[in-house]
Amino acid sequence: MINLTINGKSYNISQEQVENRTLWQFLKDNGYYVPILCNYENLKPVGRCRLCVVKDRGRIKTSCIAPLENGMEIITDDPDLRKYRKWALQFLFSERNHYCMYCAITSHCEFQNLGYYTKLDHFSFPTFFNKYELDNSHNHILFDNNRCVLCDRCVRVCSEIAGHFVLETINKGIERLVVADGGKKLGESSCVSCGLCVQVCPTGTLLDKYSLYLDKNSIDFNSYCYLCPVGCGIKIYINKNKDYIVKIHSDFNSFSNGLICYKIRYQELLNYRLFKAQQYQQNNKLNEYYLDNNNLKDFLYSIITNLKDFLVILDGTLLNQELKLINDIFKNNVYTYYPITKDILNNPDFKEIEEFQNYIIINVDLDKDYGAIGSLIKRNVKLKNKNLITLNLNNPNYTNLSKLNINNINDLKKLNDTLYDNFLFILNAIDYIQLKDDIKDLLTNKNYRFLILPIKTNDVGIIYFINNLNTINLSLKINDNKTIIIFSRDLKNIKEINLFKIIQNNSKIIFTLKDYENLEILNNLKNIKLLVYLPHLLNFSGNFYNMFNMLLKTENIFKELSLKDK
Amino acid sequence: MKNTKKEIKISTIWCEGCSGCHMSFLDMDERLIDLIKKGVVFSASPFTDLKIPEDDVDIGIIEGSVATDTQEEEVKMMREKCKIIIAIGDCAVFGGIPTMRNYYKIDELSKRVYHEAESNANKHYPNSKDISKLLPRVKAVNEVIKVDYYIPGCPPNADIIFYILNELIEGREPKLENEKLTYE
Repeated sequence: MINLTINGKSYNISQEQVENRTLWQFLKDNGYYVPILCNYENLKPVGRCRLCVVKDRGRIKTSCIAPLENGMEIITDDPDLRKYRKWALQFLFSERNHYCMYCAITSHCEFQNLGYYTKLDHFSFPTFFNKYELDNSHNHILFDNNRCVLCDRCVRVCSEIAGHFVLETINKGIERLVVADGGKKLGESSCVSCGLCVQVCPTGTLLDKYSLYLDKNSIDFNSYCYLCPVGCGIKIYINKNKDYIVKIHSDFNSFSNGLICYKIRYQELLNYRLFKAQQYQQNNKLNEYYLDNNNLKDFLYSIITNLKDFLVILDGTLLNQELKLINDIFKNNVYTYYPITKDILNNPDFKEIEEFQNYIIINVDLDKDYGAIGSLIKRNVKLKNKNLITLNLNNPNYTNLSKLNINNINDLKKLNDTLYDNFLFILNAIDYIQLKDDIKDLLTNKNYRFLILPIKTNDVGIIYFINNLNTINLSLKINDNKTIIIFSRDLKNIKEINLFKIIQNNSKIIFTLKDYENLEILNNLKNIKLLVYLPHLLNFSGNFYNMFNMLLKTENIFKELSLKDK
Repeated sequence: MKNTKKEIKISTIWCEGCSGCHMSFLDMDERLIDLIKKGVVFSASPFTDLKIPEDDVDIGIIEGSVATDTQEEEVKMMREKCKIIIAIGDCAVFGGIPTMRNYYKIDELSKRVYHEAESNANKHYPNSKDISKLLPRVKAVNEVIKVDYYIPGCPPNADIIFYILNELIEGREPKLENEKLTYE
């Protein structure tokens, strides 16, 4: 138990609350505003910017790295402190190019706001001019070291949170520079475009190319990413008039703790803008209906009354509400084109994953398909000295980290004789069904668990909502007379497994998302009896289960606009 | 009729800037008349187009950064002649856009502009004695003289210019904070 006073008010804190909490965090949790630049959410504080200075019994302390002590008498704001903060900020402002009027993020910049907070209306020193190259090599990120204040947020977030270890600093003093992979251009580095560095950058150094100059007075919504079964918490920023999405950030207060990958942040943002643009182009020859969930039910009933022999194929791109509806109407005729195992429900959760000592990744490129899990594994391997074993993996981001790279499942037998124990197997559901018995035979005297990665977002929802789900080879079920009803927001994957070749001659009813990739596939398909467009998940409020069996909600971000979309 | 009000002289000069701040100054519109009613006399300013202010100016307004030797002299002259100096706009306050040339040496710069530029047919460096010399680096006004008040902004809003002038004329201390302080 320790006692301290803040601005004259006394606090008693138990020992538990003292641990892992610095003075700045304590002040923030109790509603005191102390400005800070170099610290961000749960990154490790480094005490670099010195803006968070407070007075403790007359002495100046950097609150973000000061531990809580008994008898502290803290003053968070007085003319002296304001003066010190202003001086610290001036040093940063005058060191590089910080002229706000021609910066892409002016008016919503943390650094600029601190200038306003300290009432900085001029610099007391001449500014320093040292030119650094503007790096425009990356597809999504513009990197301008001339605006850097060397807070190291990006470097820390890239390692501590995202686990990619791409960004680092070189040189010393005023020549210090943030670089990728020891001096490569960002576009040529091992960057996987998660964009966390852009999100945490307090200045215009790391810029999102899709939101330059757009981000004035934007409104943010909390939602969850629906693009893979992890379901990371996200914040979607839309402009004031609700016409377009400005940017998509990760949510540090959600279960995923700020993890995010390129899929939602850049790929989906870009796709959605194309999707929106396309809604204004009415040159599509296909027979189309645009439905949202309210009238889907009546519509489905009207279809089923006219059909005698049919078969429904769906995947995990549908939300719970849609799955429930489909199950109510089509009952036992529903199939998925890939196997789903109920063992997914036993997956360890985010915290449990971090407790394992050894990770074995089989076949899956986590950076590409399950970015957040990849981040989790990489940062644990590198920062907490855990062991990684890869099987059939070519991504150097993982193979370079791993203790053992094997190409054959039988090589796992070697592990029986090692001292390693407590394994987590990371593999997708299809591999799991094939390999689980082999692994059981090969690893006899070790503890291990599986992290089964579902193929599509809402595979757990399919387990819950679809009765009698049959995973037998689909081609046996299909004969020429059957009408095939397909529900999927992403036809690309169905095409990859050649299902379309099998059903080429059948008459088809397809429910899908109207986007460029899908339209291209549809244009090459014969015998489409009816084509119905499902709502885009950014325009639709619904929920789904992620791979950790958590019920997550997607937000309709353009609530007023969804009617106009039809 | 005898004017009983005390005369307050305001002069402005324009150094290395785009004149946007003077535009903003004129954007005070009818409030300029309010100021005149309060006794303000605009001596060297856009109204009179005089270049040299009188010797007993009360408020001197400087737009633009200091980029040439002439501008340096002018700015020093303003300090001698004016009781209060206000630096107006991002160029005068911070250096602003003209400081972009500080990344290069003058030789490199003039070579590029007068010899290599695609639009320049004469390939001739202007060397008349009447043309002022470029300083090695562009400076904010407060690097040359003492400045009393700063109005950042590119350009600053006419409301803010009026606020500052009005407060000074009324004998109050102007404070730039909250929405009045902006760098854009």
